[in-house]
Amino acid sequence: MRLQLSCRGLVAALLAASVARAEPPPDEVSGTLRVYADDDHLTVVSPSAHGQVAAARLAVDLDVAVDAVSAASVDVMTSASPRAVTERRVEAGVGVTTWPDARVAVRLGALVSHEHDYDVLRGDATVTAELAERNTTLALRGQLELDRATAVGDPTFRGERRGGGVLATATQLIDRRTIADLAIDARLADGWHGSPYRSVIVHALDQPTFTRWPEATPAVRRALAAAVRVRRAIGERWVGAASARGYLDDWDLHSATATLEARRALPGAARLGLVARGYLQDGASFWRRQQPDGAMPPALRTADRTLGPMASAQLEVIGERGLGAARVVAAVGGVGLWYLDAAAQSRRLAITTTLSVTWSR
Amino acid sequence: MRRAVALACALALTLTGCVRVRPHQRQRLADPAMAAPTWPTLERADEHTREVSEGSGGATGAGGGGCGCN
Repeated sequence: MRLQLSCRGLVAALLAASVARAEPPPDEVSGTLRVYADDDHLTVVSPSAHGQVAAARLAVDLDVAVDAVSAASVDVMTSASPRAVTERRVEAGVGVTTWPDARVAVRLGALVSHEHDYDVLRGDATVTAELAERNTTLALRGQLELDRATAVGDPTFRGERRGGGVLATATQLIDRRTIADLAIDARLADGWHGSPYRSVIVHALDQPTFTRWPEATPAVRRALAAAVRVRRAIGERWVGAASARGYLDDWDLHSATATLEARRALPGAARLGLVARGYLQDGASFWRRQQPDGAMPPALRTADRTLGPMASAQLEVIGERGLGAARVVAAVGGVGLWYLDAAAQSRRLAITTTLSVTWSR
Repeated sequence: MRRAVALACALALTLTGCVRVRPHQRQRLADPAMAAPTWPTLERADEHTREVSEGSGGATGAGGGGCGCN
Protein backbone atom coordinates (compact mmCIF):
# COMPACT_ATOMS: atom_id res chain seq x y z
CA MET A 1 0.00 0.00 0.00
CA ARG A 2 1.18 3.46 -0.67
CA LEU A 3 -0.20 6.53 1.03
CA GLN A 4 -1.72 7.65 -2.25
CA LEU A 5 -1.16 11.29 -1.54
CA SER A 6 -1.65 12.57 -5.06
CA CYS A 7 -1.14 16.12 -6.21
CA ARG A 8 -4.86 16.71 -5.91
CA GLY A 9 -4.54 16.04 -2.22
CA LEU A 10 -1.45 18.13 -1.78
CA VAL A 11 -3.15 21.09 -3.36
CA ALA A 12 -6.22 20.70 -1.24
CA ALA A 13 -4.27 20.13 1.92
CA LEU A 14 -2.13 23.22 1.57
CA LEU A 15 -4.59 25.52 -0.07
CA ALA A 16 -6.07 27.26 2.91
CA ALA A 17 -2.76 28.21 4.44
CA SER A 18 -0.86 29.10 1.30
CA VAL A 19 -3.17 31.67 -0.28
CA ALA A 20 -1.14 34.84 0.06
CA ARG A 21 -2.53 37.60 2.20
CA ALA A 22 -2.34 41.17 1.04
CA GLU A 23 -0.12 42.29 3.89
CA PRO A 24 2.80 40.59 5.71
CA PRO A 25 1.79 38.03 8.36
CA PRO A 26 3.41 37.91 11.81
CA ASP A 27 6.52 35.78 12.32
CA GLU A 28 5.31 32.39 13.43
CA VAL A 29 6.41 28.86 14.27
CA SER A 30 4.08 25.98 14.88
CA GLY A 31 4.23 22.26 15.54
CA THR A 32 1.34 19.86 15.07
CA LEU A 33 0.74 16.21 15.87
CA ARG A 34 -2.19 14.44 14.27
CA VAL A 35 -3.26 10.84 14.88
CA TYR A 36 -5.83 9.06 12.71
CA ALA A 37 -7.11 5.65 13.73
CA ASP A 38 -9.96 3.68 12.16
CA ASP A 39 -11.73 0.38 12.65
CA ASP A 40 -9.93 -1.09 9.61
CA HIS A 41 -6.71 -1.35 11.65
CA LEU A 42 -5.22 1.71 9.96
CA THR A 43 -3.27 4.19 12.07
CA VAL A 44 -1.59 7.30 10.70
CA VAL A 45 0.65 9.45 12.90
CA SER A 46 1.42 12.80 11.26
CA PRO A 47 3.82 15.24 12.91
CA SER A 48 4.34 18.50 11.04
CA ALA A 49 6.04 21.87 11.49
CA HIS A 50 5.39 25.27 9.94
CA GLY A 51 7.34 28.49 10.09
CA GLN A 52 7.11 31.92 8.50
CA VAL A 53 9.20 35.06 8.75
CA ALA A 54 8.53 38.44 7.19
CA ALA A 55 10.73 41.48 6.66
CA ALA A 56 9.54 44.64 4.91
CA ARG A 57 7.91 43.47 1.69
CA LEU A 58 9.13 39.88 1.71
CA ALA A 59 8.02 36.78 3.62
CA VAL A 60 9.19 33.18 3.54
CA ASP A 61 7.21 30.21 4.79
CA LEU A 62 8.39 26.63 5.28
CA ASP A 63 6.46 23.42 5.91
CA VAL A 64 7.67 19.95 6.78
CA ALA A 65 5.34 17.00 7.38
CA VAL A 66 5.65 13.27 7.91
CA ASP A 67 3.01 10.54 7.69
CA ALA A 68 3.85 7.31 9.47
CA VAL A 69 1.31 4.65 8.49
CA SER A 70 0.70 1.36 10.19
CA ALA A 71 -1.89 -0.82 8.48
CA ALA A 72 -3.17 -4.34 8.94
CA SER A 73 -6.30 -3.91 6.85
CA VAL A 74 -7.63 -7.03 5.17
CA ASP A 75 -7.74 -5.42 1.72
CA VAL A 76 -4.28 -3.92 2.16
CA MET A 77 -2.80 -7.27 3.08
CA THR A 78 -4.36 -9.12 0.18
CA SER A 79 -3.57 -6.52 -2.46
CA ALA A 80 -0.11 -5.31 -1.55
CA SER A 81 1.55 -7.41 1.05
CA PRO A 82 1.01 -10.70 2.85
CA ARG A 83 1.47 -9.01 6.21
CA ALA A 84 0.82 -5.75 8.01
CA VAL A 85 2.71 -2.82 6.51
CA THR A 86 4.43 0.24 7.88
CA GLU A 87 5.21 3.15 5.58
CA ARG A 88 6.42 6.69 5.76
CA ARG A 89 5.87 9.77 3.60
CA VAL A 90 7.94 12.95 3.92
CA GLU A 91 6.78 16.27 2.51
CA ALA A 92 8.51 19.66 2.38
CA GLY A 93 7.23 22.95 1.02
CA VAL A 94 8.56 26.48 0.70
CA GLY A 95 6.87 29.70 -0.32
CA VAL A 96 8.08 33.23 -0.95
CA THR A 97 5.64 36.12 -0.82
CA THR A 98 6.27 39.69 -1.88
CA TRP A 99 4.09 42.81 -1.77
CA PRO A 100 4.70 45.00 -4.82
CA ASP A 101 1.89 47.24 -3.65
CA ALA A 102 0.14 47.82 -0.32
CA ARG A 103 -2.91 45.96 -1.58
CA VAL A 104 -1.29 43.30 -3.78
CA ALA A 105 0.61 40.15 -2.81
CA VAL A 106 2.41 37.65 -5.04
CA ARG A 107 3.39 34.24 -3.75
CA LEU A 108 5.52 31.55 -5.41
CA GLY A 109 5.54 28.10 -3.85
CA ALA A 110 7.10 24.69 -4.38
CA LEU A 111 6.45 21.38 -2.71
CA VAL A 112 7.98 17.90 -2.85
CA SER A 113 6.65 14.70 -1.33
CA HIS A 114 8.47 11.38 -1.19
CA GLU A 115 7.63 7.87 -0.22
CA HIS A 116 9.33 4.69 -1.33
CA ASP A 117 6.94 4.14 -4.26
CA TYR A 118 5.44 7.57 -4.90
CA ASP A 119 6.91 11.03 -5.55
CA VAL A 120 5.19 14.36 -6.08
CA LEU A 121 6.55 17.68 -7.32
CA ARG A 122 4.41 20.80 -7.43
CA GLY A 123 4.86 24.50 -8.17
CA ASP A 124 2.30 27.27 -7.80
CA ALA A 125 1.87 31.01 -8.13
CA THR A 126 -0.79 33.14 -6.44
CA VAL A 127 -1.75 36.79 -6.87
CA THR A 128 -3.95 38.38 -4.22
CA ALA A 129 -5.46 41.86 -4.44
CA GLU A 130 -7.55 43.86 -1.98
CA LEU A 131 -10.01 46.25 -3.58
CA ALA A 132 -12.69 48.76 -2.62
CA GLU A 133 -11.15 49.84 0.68
CA ARG A 134 -10.48 46.22 1.53
CA ASN A 135 -14.12 45.28 1.16
CA THR A 136 -13.17 42.83 -1.56
CA THR A 137 -10.29 40.37 -1.77
CA LEU A 138 -9.60 38.56 -5.02
CA ALA A 139 -7.06 35.78 -5.44
CA LEU A 140 -5.96 33.85 -8.51
CA ARG A 141 -3.79 30.81 -8.22
CA GLY A 142 -2.18 28.60 -10.88
CA GLN A 143 -0.37 25.34 -10.25
CA LEU A 144 1.54 22.63 -12.09
CA GLU A 145 2.01 19.12 -10.75
CA LEU A 146 3.91 15.93 -11.47
CA ASP A 147 3.23 12.54 -9.82
CA ARG A 148 5.49 9.51 -10.27
CA ALA A 149 4.48 6.06 -9.03
CA THR A 150 6.47 2.82 -8.84
CA ALA A 151 5.47 -0.55 -7.39
CA VAL A 152 7.05 -2.75 -4.78
CA GLY A 153 7.58 -6.18 -6.32
CA ASP A 154 7.36 -4.94 -9.92
CA PRO A 155 10.53 -3.07 -10.93
CA THR A 156 9.21 -2.58 -14.46
CA PHE A 157 6.18 -0.54 -13.40
CA ARG A 158 6.28 3.25 -13.88
CA GLY A 159 3.22 5.45 -13.64
CA GLU A 160 3.35 9.18 -14.28
CA ARG A 161 0.74 11.89 -14.18
CA ARG A 162 0.99 15.58 -15.09
CA GLY A 163 -1.60 18.07 -14.04
CA GLY A 164 -2.46 21.65 -13.43
CA GLY A 165 -5.22 23.87 -12.25
CA VAL A 166 -6.54 27.33 -11.63
CA LEU A 167 -8.27 28.47 -8.46
CA ALA A 168 -10.08 31.80 -8.26
CA THR A 169 -11.45 33.08 -4.96
CA ALA A 170 -13.38 36.19 -4.03
CA THR A 171 -14.06 37.38 -0.51
CA GLN A 172 -16.60 40.14 0.05
CA LEU A 173 -17.73 42.02 3.16
CA ILE A 174 -21.51 41.93 3.20
CA ASP A 175 -22.09 44.06 6.31
CA ARG A 176 -20.47 44.81 9.68
CA ARG A 177 -20.85 41.20 10.77
CA THR A 178 -20.87 39.11 7.61
CA ILE A 179 -18.26 37.93 5.10
CA ALA A 180 -18.99 35.85 2.00
CA ASP A 181 -16.52 33.75 0.01
CA LEU A 182 -16.75 32.28 -3.46
CA ALA A 183 -14.20 29.79 -4.83
CA ILE A 184 -14.00 28.22 -8.28
CA ASP A 185 -11.44 25.52 -8.94
CA ALA A 186 -10.68 23.95 -12.34
CA ARG A 187 -8.19 21.09 -12.71
CA LEU A 188 -6.78 18.83 -15.38
CA ALA A 189 -4.71 15.68 -14.84
CA ASP A 190 -3.25 13.52 -17.60
CA GLY A 191 -1.58 10.15 -17.05
CA TRP A 192 -1.69 7.28 -14.56
CA HIS A 193 -4.60 7.49 -12.09
CA GLY A 194 -4.71 3.97 -10.68
CA SER A 195 -2.85 1.95 -8.11
CA PRO A 196 -0.44 -0.84 -9.05
CA TYR A 197 -1.56 -2.70 -5.91
CA ARG A 198 -5.25 -2.91 -6.73
CA SER A 199 -6.52 -5.55 -9.10
CA VAL A 200 -9.99 -5.80 -10.60
CA ILE A 201 -11.87 -9.08 -10.39
CA VAL A 202 -13.65 -9.89 -13.65
CA HIS A 203 -16.17 -12.70 -13.83
CA ALA A 204 -16.60 -14.47 -17.16
CA LEU A 205 -20.24 -14.51 -18.23
CA ASP A 206 -20.44 -18.18 -19.13
CA GLN A 207 -18.11 -19.68 -16.54
CA PRO A 208 -18.03 -19.78 -12.74
CA THR A 209 -14.41 -18.60 -12.71
CA PHE A 210 -12.94 -15.15 -12.43
CA THR A 211 -9.68 -13.44 -13.34
CA ARG A 212 -7.76 -10.51 -11.88
CA TRP A 213 -6.69 -7.60 -14.04
CA PRO A 214 -4.72 -4.44 -13.33
CA GLU A 215 -6.65 -1.19 -13.12
CA ALA A 216 -7.18 0.80 -16.31
CA THR A 217 -8.76 4.26 -16.14
CA PRO A 218 -9.10 7.09 -18.65
CA ALA A 219 -5.82 9.02 -18.93
CA VAL A 220 -7.37 12.46 -18.69
CA ARG A 221 -9.52 13.76 -15.86
CA ARG A 222 -11.01 17.25 -15.93
CA ALA A 223 -12.70 18.54 -12.79
CA LEU A 224 -14.59 21.64 -11.74
CA ALA A 225 -15.50 22.57 -8.17
CA ALA A 226 -17.26 25.64 -6.80
CA ALA A 227 -17.89 26.61 -3.21
CA VAL A 228 -19.78 29.35 -1.40
CA ARG A 229 -19.24 30.19 2.25
CA VAL A 230 -20.77 32.72 4.62
CA ARG A 231 -19.24 33.70 7.95
CA ARG A 232 -21.20 35.79 10.43
CA ALA A 233 -20.53 37.20 13.89
CA ILE A 234 -23.48 36.55 16.20
CA GLY A 235 -23.72 38.64 19.34
CA GLU A 236 -20.44 39.46 21.07
CA ARG A 237 -19.07 35.94 21.51
CA TRP A 238 -20.33 33.69 18.73
CA VAL A 239 -19.27 33.22 15.13
CA GLY A 240 -21.15 30.94 12.76
CA ALA A 241 -20.14 29.76 9.30
CA ALA A 242 -21.87 27.71 6.62
CA SER A 243 -20.51 26.49 3.31
CA ALA A 244 -21.66 24.47 0.34
CA ARG A 245 -19.55 22.94 -2.41
CA GLY A 246 -20.43 21.25 -5.67
CA TYR A 247 -18.06 19.14 -7.78
CA LEU A 248 -18.23 17.46 -11.17
CA ASP A 249 -15.73 15.87 -13.52
CA ASP A 250 -15.66 14.17 -16.90
CA TRP A 251 -15.56 10.74 -15.27
CA ASP A 252 -19.19 11.53 -14.36
CA LEU A 253 -18.44 11.81 -10.66
CA HIS A 254 -20.53 14.42 -8.87
CA SER A 255 -20.41 15.39 -5.22
CA ALA A 256 -21.99 17.82 -2.79
CA THR A 257 -20.52 18.98 0.51
CA ALA A 258 -22.13 20.99 3.31
CA THR A 259 -20.32 22.30 6.37
CA LEU A 260 -21.60 24.10 9.46
CA GLU A 261 -19.28 25.67 12.02
CA ALA A 262 -19.83 27.45 15.34
CA ARG A 263 -17.15 29.16 17.40
CA ARG A 264 -17.51 30.79 20.80
CA ALA A 265 -15.09 33.06 22.64
CA LEU A 266 -14.44 31.99 26.22
CA PRO A 267 -12.85 33.90 29.13
CA GLY A 268 -9.06 33.79 29.32
CA ALA A 269 -8.20 34.10 25.60
CA ALA A 270 -9.82 30.75 24.92
CA ARG A 271 -12.15 29.58 22.19
CA LEU A 272 -14.35 26.59 21.55
CA GLY A 273 -15.33 25.38 18.09
CA LEU A 274 -17.67 22.79 16.63
CA VAL A 275 -17.57 21.62 13.01
CA ALA A 276 -20.12 19.36 11.31
CA ARG A 277 -19.60 18.22 7.72
CA GLY A 278 -21.57 16.02 5.37
CA TYR A 279 -20.42 14.69 2.00
CA LEU A 280 -22.27 12.78 -0.70
CA GLN A 281 -21.04 11.55 -4.10
CA ASP A 282 -22.33 9.38 -6.87
CA GLY A 283 -19.96 7.06 -8.67
CA ALA A 284 -17.75 7.56 -11.71
CA SER A 285 -19.37 5.80 -14.64
CA PHE A 286 -16.50 5.06 -17.01
CA TRP A 287 -16.04 1.56 -15.62
CA ARG A 288 -19.61 0.63 -14.82
CA ARG A 289 -20.65 1.05 -18.42
CA GLN A 290 -18.14 -1.58 -19.49
CA GLN A 291 -19.44 -5.15 -19.32
CA PRO A 292 -17.34 -8.29 -19.67
CA ASP A 293 -17.85 -10.04 -23.00
CA GLY A 294 -16.65 -13.56 -22.65
CA ALA A 295 -12.92 -13.87 -22.16
CA MET A 296 -12.05 -10.19 -22.54
CA PRO A 297 -12.08 -7.87 -19.53
CA PRO A 298 -13.64 -4.40 -19.82
CA ALA A 299 -11.20 -1.94 -21.33
CA LEU A 300 -11.61 0.47 -18.39
CA ARG A 301 -11.78 -0.96 -14.89
CA THR A 302 -11.02 0.04 -11.35
CA ALA A 303 -11.33 -1.28 -7.83
CA ASP A 304 -10.94 2.15 -6.25
CA ARG A 305 -13.79 2.40 -3.77
CA THR A 306 -13.46 6.20 -3.62
CA LEU A 307 -14.71 6.32 -7.23
CA GLY A 308 -17.98 4.60 -6.33
CA PRO A 309 -21.03 6.08 -4.64
CA MET A 310 -20.27 7.04 -1.06
CA ALA A 311 -21.16 9.29 1.84
CA SER A 312 -19.22 10.63 4.78
CA ALA A 313 -19.99 12.56 7.93
CA GLN A 314 -17.61 14.33 10.28
CA LEU A 315 -18.02 15.98 13.65
CA GLU A 316 -15.09 17.76 15.29
CA VAL A 317 -14.74 19.61 18.61
CA ILE A 318 -11.92 22.13 18.87
CA GLY A 319 -10.52 23.99 21.86
CA GLU A 320 -7.99 26.83 21.77
CA ARG A 321 -6.22 28.61 24.58
CA GLY A 322 -3.58 31.33 24.67
CA LEU A 323 -0.57 30.72 26.90
CA GLY A 324 1.68 33.78 26.78
CA ALA A 325 3.09 34.05 23.27
CA ALA A 326 1.80 30.59 22.39
CA ARG A 327 -1.58 29.34 21.26
CA VAL A 328 -2.51 25.75 21.91
CA VAL A 329 -5.19 24.09 19.79
CA ALA A 330 -6.56 20.63 20.54
CA ALA A 331 -9.21 18.84 18.51
CA VAL A 332 -11.01 15.51 18.57
CA GLY A 333 -13.11 14.38 15.65
CA GLY A 334 -15.15 11.43 14.50
CA VAL A 335 -15.47 10.44 10.83
CA GLY A 336 -17.86 7.94 9.28
CA LEU A 337 -17.35 6.71 5.70
CA TRP A 338 -19.85 4.62 3.78
CA TYR A 339 -18.77 3.07 0.45
CA LEU A 340 -22.11 2.02 -0.97
CA ASP A 341 -20.81 -0.13 -3.85
CA ALA A 342 -17.96 -1.84 -2.02
CA ALA A 343 -18.37 -5.57 -1.50
CA ALA A 344 -16.17 -5.54 1.60
CA GLN A 345 -15.07 -2.86 4.06
CA SER A 346 -18.10 -0.84 3.04
CA ARG A 347 -18.16 1.15 6.29
CA ARG A 348 -15.27 2.76 8.07
CA LEU A 349 -15.31 4.66 11.36
CA ALA A 350 -12.35 6.79 12.38
CA ILE A 351 -11.22 9.03 15.21
CA THR A 352 -8.84 11.92 14.66
CA THR A 353 -6.90 13.63 17.43
CA THR A 354 -4.87 16.78 16.82
CA LEU A 355 -2.64 18.89 19.05
CA SER A 356 -1.02 22.06 17.70
CA VAL A 357 1.14 24.74 19.36
CA THR A 358 1.89 28.06 17.63
CA TRP A 359 4.26 30.78 18.71
CA SER A 360 3.82 34.22 17.15
CA ARG A 361 5.50 37.58 17.55
CA MET B 1 -23.45 23.41 -12.22
CA ARG B 2 -22.18 25.87 -14.84
CA ARG B 3 -25.31 27.94 -14.46
CA ALA B 4 -24.81 28.01 -10.69
CA VAL B 5 -21.20 29.12 -11.09
CA ALA B 6 -22.23 31.91 -13.48
CA LEU B 7 -24.94 33.03 -11.09
CA ALA B 8 -22.53 33.03 -8.16
CA CYS B 9 -20.00 35.08 -10.17
CA ALA B 10 -22.66 37.60 -11.13
CA LEU B 11 -23.80 37.84 -7.51
CA ALA B 12 -20.23 38.34 -6.30
CA LEU B 13 -19.60 41.11 -8.83
CA THR B 14 -22.88 42.78 -7.89
CA LEU B 15 -22.07 42.71 -4.19
CA THR B 16 -18.59 44.07 -4.87
CA GLY B 17 -20.08 47.13 -6.48
CA CYS B 18 -22.63 48.12 -3.87
CA VAL B 19 -21.32 47.23 -0.42
CA ARG B 20 -18.97 49.39 1.63
CA VAL B 21 -18.03 48.55 5.21
CA ARG B 22 -15.75 51.27 6.61
CA PRO B 23 -12.64 50.37 8.64
CA HIS B 24 -14.14 51.69 11.89
CA GLN B 25 -17.14 49.40 11.39
CA ARG B 26 -15.09 46.21 11.32
CA GLN B 27 -14.63 45.46 15.00
CA ARG B 28 -16.50 42.15 14.86
CA LEU B 29 -15.05 41.27 11.48
CA ALA B 30 -11.57 41.57 13.01
CA ASP B 31 -12.29 38.77 15.47
CA PRO B 32 -9.79 35.94 14.78
CA ALA B 33 -12.74 33.55 14.81
CA MET B 34 -13.92 35.24 11.59
CA ALA B 35 -10.74 34.28 9.74
CA ALA B 36 -10.95 31.56 7.10
CA PRO B 37 -9.77 29.11 8.10
CA THR B 38 -9.76 29.86 11.81
CA TRP B 39 -7.43 26.94 12.51
CA PRO B 40 -5.27 26.36 9.39
CA THR B 41 -3.37 23.39 10.80
CA LEU B 42 -6.61 21.54 11.48
CA GLU B 43 -7.95 22.41 8.05
CA ARG B 44 -4.82 21.03 6.41
CA ALA B 45 -4.98 17.82 8.41
CA ASP B 46 -8.67 17.29 7.65
CA GLU B 47 -8.16 17.87 3.92
CA HIS B 48 -5.30 15.41 3.95
CA THR B 49 -7.55 12.75 5.46
CA ARG B 50 -10.33 13.44 2.94
CA GLU B 51 -7.96 13.17 -0.01
CA VAL B 52 -7.45 9.44 0.50
CA SER B 53 -11.02 8.63 1.51
CA GLU B 54 -13.22 10.66 -0.87
CA GLY B 55 -13.37 10.80 -4.65
CA SER B 56 -13.44 14.57 -5.14
CA GLY B 57 -12.01 17.76 -3.72
CA GLY B 58 -11.03 21.35 -4.43
CA ALA B 59 -12.46 24.84 -4.02
CA THR B 60 -11.34 25.09 -0.42
CA GLY B 61 -9.72 28.13 1.10
CA ALA B 62 -10.45 31.82 0.67
CA GLY B 63 -8.63 34.89 -0.54
CA GLY B 64 -8.64 36.58 2.82
CA GLY B 65 -10.71 38.03 5.58
CA GLY B 66 -11.33 41.21 3.65
CA CYS B 67 -11.47 43.07 6.90
CA GLY B 68 -8.11 44.77 6.76
CA CYS B 69 -7.01 42.83 9.80
CA ASN B 70 -5.04 39.97 8.33
